[in-house]
Amino acid sequence: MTGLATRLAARNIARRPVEAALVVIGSLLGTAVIVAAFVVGDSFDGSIRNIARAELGPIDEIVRVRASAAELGRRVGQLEDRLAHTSIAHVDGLLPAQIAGVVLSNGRRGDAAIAEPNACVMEVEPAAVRRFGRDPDLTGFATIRHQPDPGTLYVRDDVARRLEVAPGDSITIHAYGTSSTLRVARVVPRVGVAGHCAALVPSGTILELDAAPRAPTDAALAPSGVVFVSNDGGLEDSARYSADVVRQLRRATRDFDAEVQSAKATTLDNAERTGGNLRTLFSAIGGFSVTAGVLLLVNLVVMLAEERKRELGVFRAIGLRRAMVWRSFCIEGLVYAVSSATAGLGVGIAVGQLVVAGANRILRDPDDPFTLSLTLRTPSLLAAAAIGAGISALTVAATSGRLARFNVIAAIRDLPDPPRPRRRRWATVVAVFGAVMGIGAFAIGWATATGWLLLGGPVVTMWSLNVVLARRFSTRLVVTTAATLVVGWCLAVFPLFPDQMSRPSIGVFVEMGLILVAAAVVHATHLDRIWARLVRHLTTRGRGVSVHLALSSPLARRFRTGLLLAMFSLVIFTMAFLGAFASILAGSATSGARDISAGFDLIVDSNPSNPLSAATLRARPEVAEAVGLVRGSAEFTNRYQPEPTRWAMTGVDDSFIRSGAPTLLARARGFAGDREVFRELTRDPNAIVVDAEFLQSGSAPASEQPRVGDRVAARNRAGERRTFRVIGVLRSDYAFHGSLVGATTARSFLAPAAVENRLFVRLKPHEPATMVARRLSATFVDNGVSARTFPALVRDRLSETTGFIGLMQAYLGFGLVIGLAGLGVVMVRAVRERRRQIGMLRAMGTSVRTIRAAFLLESTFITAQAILIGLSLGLLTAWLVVVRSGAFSDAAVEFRVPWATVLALAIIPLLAALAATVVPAARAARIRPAVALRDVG
Amino acid sequence: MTVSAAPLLSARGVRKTYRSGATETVALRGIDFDLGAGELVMVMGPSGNGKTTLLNCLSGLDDIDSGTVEIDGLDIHALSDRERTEHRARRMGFIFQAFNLIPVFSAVENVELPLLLAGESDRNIRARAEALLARVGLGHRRDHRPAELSGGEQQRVAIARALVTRPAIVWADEPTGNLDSHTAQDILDVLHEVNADGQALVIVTHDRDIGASGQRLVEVHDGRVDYDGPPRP
Ligand SMILES: Nc1ncnc2c1ncn2[C@@H]1O[C@H](COP(=O)(O)OP(=O)(O)O)[C@@H](O)[C@H]1O
Ligand SMILES: [Mg+2]
Repeated sequence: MTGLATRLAARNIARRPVEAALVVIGSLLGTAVIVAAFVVGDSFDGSIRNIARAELGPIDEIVRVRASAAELGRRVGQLEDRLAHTSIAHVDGLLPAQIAGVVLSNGRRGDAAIAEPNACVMEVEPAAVRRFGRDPDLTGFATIRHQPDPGTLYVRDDVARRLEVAPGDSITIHAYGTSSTLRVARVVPRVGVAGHCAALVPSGTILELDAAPRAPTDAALAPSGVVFVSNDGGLEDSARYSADVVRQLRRATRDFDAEVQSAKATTLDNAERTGGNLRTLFSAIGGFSVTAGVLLLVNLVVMLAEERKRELGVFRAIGLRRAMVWRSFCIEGLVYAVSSATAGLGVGIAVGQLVVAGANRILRDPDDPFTLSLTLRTPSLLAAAAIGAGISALTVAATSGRLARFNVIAAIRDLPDPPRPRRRRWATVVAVFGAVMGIGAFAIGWATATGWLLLGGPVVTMWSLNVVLARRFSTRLVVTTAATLVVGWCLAVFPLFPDQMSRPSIGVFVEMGLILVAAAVVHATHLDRIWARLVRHLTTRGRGVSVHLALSSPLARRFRTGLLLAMFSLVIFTMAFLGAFASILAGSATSGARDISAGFDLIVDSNPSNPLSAATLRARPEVAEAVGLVRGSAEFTNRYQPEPTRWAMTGVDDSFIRSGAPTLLARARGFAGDREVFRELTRDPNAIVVDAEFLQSGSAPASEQPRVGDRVAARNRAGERRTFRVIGVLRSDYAFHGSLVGATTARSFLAPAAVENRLFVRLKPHEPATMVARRLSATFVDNGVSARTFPALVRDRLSETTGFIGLMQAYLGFGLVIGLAGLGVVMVRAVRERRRQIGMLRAMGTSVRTIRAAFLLESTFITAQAILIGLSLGLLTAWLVVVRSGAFSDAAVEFRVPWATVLALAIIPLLAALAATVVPAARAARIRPAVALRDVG
Repeated sequence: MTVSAAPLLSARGVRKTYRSGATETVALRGIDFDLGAGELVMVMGPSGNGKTTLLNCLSGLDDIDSGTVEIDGLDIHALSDRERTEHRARRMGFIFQAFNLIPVFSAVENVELPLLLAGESDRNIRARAEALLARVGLGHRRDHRPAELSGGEQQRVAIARALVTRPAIVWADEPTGNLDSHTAQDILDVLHEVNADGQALVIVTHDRDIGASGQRLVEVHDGRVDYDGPPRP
């Protein structure tokens, strides 16, 4: 008997190859979306992991001391000696080296001048490097036998590429207010120890630079002596000992004023976090497209089955068992699922590649040469393909399970299925269970501040109650009331539960989108009475036969229309949301710039090893005033962050607030204004102002945000501790101040690693800020200067986020394609289904134009509803989540309608839908009545 | 009944050949046919001999290979498709064996559709449709969809639809072919009533009794009119 099911399935596939292909394409797109999400996640993860190979190799930890170059050799020697004579478990190698932060330039003039503003150079003994760790290949020194000859250097390949230099050319090193020009002897690959710094220089180079005479005001960040530490194990598994080794190293170097850093474990952790976050983000956003794909699939299967109903009815009448019908459908579905998963894998990889390329364009940043490379991992790919295939197989099986239960007589006579007698008791049990579960979920969500439970619980309860209520009242009444309540609940949940719903995760947003769209679609498909009245009004005025025809089919076939609507609205919803989000961010740029500028025109950062002094800038004719900020970092702990966390610390003095101050989100009682708070910093060595995301990683709940009055413990490089009291919280921190204290406090607490390498500049009246900024950056290339206006700085900081939003919108375009494909399929099928009907209409005197118009109007009608639902709900959700939820309350956000996106989303899908319907409509118009009326069935 | 001097419809030498691939089927081999206003004509003949083709060609639903068909003095095959369509909407009604109702429209919506197509802007369209439905005995089922009606009821809706614009000619291709004999008789009664109102009616039928119930009988055999005269006992 299985043979029969298989034969039936095979015949059906073979008989309608176009439909079969469409089903495959539908689920293929869904699978591709999932595969692409996985590929993007893996690529980020892989690329960050690659940094471990490229810049660390055997290096697991770095122990660092800072001193003037004259002392550095001795200090490093002592440090290495100490470590070598302490027994430290899981360590298999030590390597001393000297490193200086520098600016590298190619020494050319004019446009050909290129600099690497934040580079480092290293002095190290090649023979020692090759002995370091277990595998010389990992060090990158396998072929480097000698130090560079005096007057030459080895440059890393990516740096050589950016500076456009080759062996024989020269490179100038700028640091400590002086410079030295060396010839490129060799280009080395970016691998391991050789990849750690931009260039390898001969012993004595750093000493020579640091020994040059300079003005006492030009305090620069001292060079560092390091001992690289390698743990047991290979490239990645060695990181597992890191926490333990770091603890031992700290104990061994307690009296050394040394900083211990876990390099590889941190890099790998970052890789996992970033890769995982992106995978989640793209899967969630892709989830909308996948849902669209599933809906398309259901639609296709339902249509296929309806077409075959009569034939199956005959089969059933002559004794084919129900299970057989179902089995035959399932076999067919399995064939579709497997073939679509295979093809979807290929398409998904291609899409992943596009996303990676797009991400690289967004991440292009001169200060950070990180690039993504496509990483394909077999387990992820197989998992993604399996998920895709599983979803399509399940969809087909579930849908056909329902269809196989059709009524035989109804099927043969082509009547709608009579309502089946309900299994009342079971339905009641399930409904009550669902209602209770929903209430439980709500309670748990409320108690534990779990947004998705709190939001979803009441929705489940409401829909469960529908089952019971529908017996007493009309289904229409019950369903539309429930849909209205659900929308109301979504609107109310943020204002009602501000604490639980602050900082909603992406999952809550996806959930809310699905709930809202579903409710809206339920509503839209129950509006048929209103539409009918409208159509009557139109037609009695002598027009609109085509409108009448166009609307009656979608209104009569509620389920099909609902699927199509849901599919389309979901995608448009997400795009509108993202568009609104991007626009809100762009809007916050203006206020953000105002928040951080403190009345200045430019922010000028330079390389800490070769900082540009305030005096130099003050001497420029364009400049009215230049104020220096002292920058460094310390390890902090506080109320919600028990782990010592390195965070930036910035020192300011009274000249910084002469004509304004950064805007504060909150300030301690007793201060008349924000300026007074900053003035207090210069007087009280224990006062601190922190940024709104102080010591946070990722998004944190409301309880873990800095408050005025918090105590903050800080520890400097020497191990000295100090407690600060928070007297203000910054509203925006696009300048990455991190935390602000008095300048003298910063200098003394952070020495010797505190440098005044940031300048806030006020220009003379009528100086064009952007042009001056560009001129300063070009003039002070040797100092690695980056001069920007405040709006430009904020734009730079936001460009990554807005870029990623754009990328996700493009990715969602995929879902739109699925929606359009669905619409096209439905319209093609509609023409085929209605051939005889069209023939009759033509016989009765319906013009070709009316027929064509009716089809175009039908798809326009559906698309327009979807656009309306998607756009309005998308904007509404953006308003709720972004503005009302307090998720972004720290930054000054203001709701803005993204008009460009709205316009694009209103027009493009409509045109695309029309385009997808042109062919079916033309086909319908070509139907000849005499031929169509002869059709059987 | 007398055939008036200028007939409503006048066909001369109508030929029709179907071509599908290499095979050619000659369906009409030179038909001459006149129809007077208010006439009731029964068309009979064995299956596959060209009755439906004749109906399609005379009404202008299908193109012909040679000959002319004049209705109201217009050569309908010389008209553009658009003009012919408009002409159909104003002057003709159709009834088929398969009732061919629009499944997503209710009974009354199906009936009023021709009025809308004819561009009538009367505010009483709905009332006219309802009145006609009541006349065919379906006043109480006007809001039902076709799938919720029996075959006989569906055909009555189809008849109401064909008559609502008061067309000059109503074409009926085996209108009782899908119905049991009792229901068929009901339908036939309705059609006779229509004819009594003065509308010309051309009915294709297999049923000898029905064939004998008209005023004029046309027998089609192998694409030719074999007999054209009063019904034979
Ligand atoms: N579309 C077509 N293509 C080819 N042959 C056709 C087509 N339609 C009808 N025929 C042929 O034309 C002849 C007349 O058909 P028809 O007018 O339907 O006969 P009737 O209505 O008397 O049963 C038949 O032989 C039929 O097979
Ligand atoms: Mg090792």
